[in-house]
Amino acid sequence: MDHEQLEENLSLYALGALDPDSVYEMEQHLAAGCSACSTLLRQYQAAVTSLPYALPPQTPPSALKSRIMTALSGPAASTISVRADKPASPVPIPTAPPDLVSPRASSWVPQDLPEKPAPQHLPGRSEFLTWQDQLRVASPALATALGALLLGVGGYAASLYNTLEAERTATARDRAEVAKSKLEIADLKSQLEDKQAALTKATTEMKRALDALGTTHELLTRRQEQIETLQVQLKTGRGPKDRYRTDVVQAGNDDLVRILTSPTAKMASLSGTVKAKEAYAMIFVEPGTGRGFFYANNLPFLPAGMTYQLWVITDKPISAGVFTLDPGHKGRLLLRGIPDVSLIKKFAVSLEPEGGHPKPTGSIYLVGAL
Amino acid sequence: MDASSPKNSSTVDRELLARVANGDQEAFEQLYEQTSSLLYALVLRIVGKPGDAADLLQEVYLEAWRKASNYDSARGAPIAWLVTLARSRAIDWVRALAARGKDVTASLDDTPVSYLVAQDPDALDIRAASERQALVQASLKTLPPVQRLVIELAFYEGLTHTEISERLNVPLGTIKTRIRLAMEKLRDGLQPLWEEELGIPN
Repeated sequence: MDHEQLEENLSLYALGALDPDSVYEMEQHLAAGCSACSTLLRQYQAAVTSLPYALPPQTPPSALKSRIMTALSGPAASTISVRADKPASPVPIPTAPPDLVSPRASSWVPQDLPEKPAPQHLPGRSEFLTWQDQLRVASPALATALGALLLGVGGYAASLYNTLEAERTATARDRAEVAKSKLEIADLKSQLEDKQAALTKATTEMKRALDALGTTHELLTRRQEQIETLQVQLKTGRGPKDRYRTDVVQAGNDDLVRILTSPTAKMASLSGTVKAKEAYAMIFVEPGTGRGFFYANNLPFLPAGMTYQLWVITDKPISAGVFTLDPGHKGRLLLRGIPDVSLIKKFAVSLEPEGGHPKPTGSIYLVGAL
Repeated sequence: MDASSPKNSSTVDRELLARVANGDQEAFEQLYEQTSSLLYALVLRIVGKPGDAADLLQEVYLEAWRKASNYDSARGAPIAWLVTLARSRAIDWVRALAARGKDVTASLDDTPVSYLVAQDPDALDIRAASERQALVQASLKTLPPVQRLVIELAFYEGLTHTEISERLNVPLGTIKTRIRLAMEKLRDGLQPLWEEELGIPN
């Protein structure tokens, strides 16, 4: 692993999040005296050790201080048992012998807490000298001579050196910038992926809602066609009158058309409960007239002797009628005497015994509000 | 940074620790006063139970007392040394319990992730009691929740990046990237802090 890769792992190491096998390699590198990494590491570690400041401060039990102070002056400060109500600590806490300290969890401790100057003890800041410094230390005379020589040869060499140094620094900076940008791009990418997933989900939901609307629209169109046909037949006096005596038509086509085409009509969308996750329904209410139209789809077929009942819920549930399903799982109702829309809190559909019930007793299948 | 700010754990000076290293119990008592609420909060956050946290904190202070002479001021501020010690011991404790299959496994694995993320953003405002606290909290707030989460999991749960990747079911590379980005932001945000700590070589 080259220096660059190691430097990339420094922040993980400082946080104690580097995997054990990489930790070893990192520590070798640091022990070899990479001053750039050592400096960076100390900055990261200072940041990491400040993290607890973000926690709300907690006052330890008041007895703790005296317990500790007593243990200090006691004869066996390092081995004293700390809890009166427990014979021993739940785990052997590394107390006196330092070699009991788990090497893994405290992998970044040794270099901060050397028991004694370790052989691979990291060199301190002062041990990192530039070559000029080293030269000066090793042989002041030689350094002076070299200085004179440099001067003698001319400022050219020196300026060349400076230019080179400056360029090297600039390149290193650029490289760091690029690396940082790369990281940022990677993170943005993962965030983008999350957003895309959310978008896909939203699209699916929207599509379902559109499907529901489409069905209603289709129904409306079909009803209008029926009405037109009926009107033509009525005018011409042809056609068997009973043929179109379906519940809806009988209840009043005029109402239905008016409600569905009224610009002031309010629409409520009901969705299926756990009892009928696929089900949905719509209610159109024409304000001021107490009339409305209810249309449900995908409700489960009714057990024998049962019916669905629609409830308008104000401060209490009011029955708005019972309905059954056609073979296509659809149910519909024309509504009369609906309370003023401002009083309606919710609509709900429940399963009730045939003929309906004065108040809801069975499971709720659909629920929704205006 | 203001070096003359009132006594709190940010200003444990090296001299105080030197006195502790020389066996000065009064200095040690002072050290306890200045650092115990921070270290207790840290240990409690990691081990979860107040009783365990108090026991553990006692061990940490006794260890600090014995090892104060090993403290190397070139490595960082005294408080950083204490935080590192306390965190390591607390995580050792949790690991040892987990290895024995104690109930702490549950708290490790079942800790709701939302708790880890949610506790920071706004709750932090109220509690900023000192300049340093405010700085750390502000820096943490600049992190997106996903980055704050990996920092929390690594620092307080002691998870490595591989373990975090497994826990969150997120690719390893993504986790590493998040940690690096978060750490860079924290380092930048906390620059006044580490400059103060590392800038003066004794």
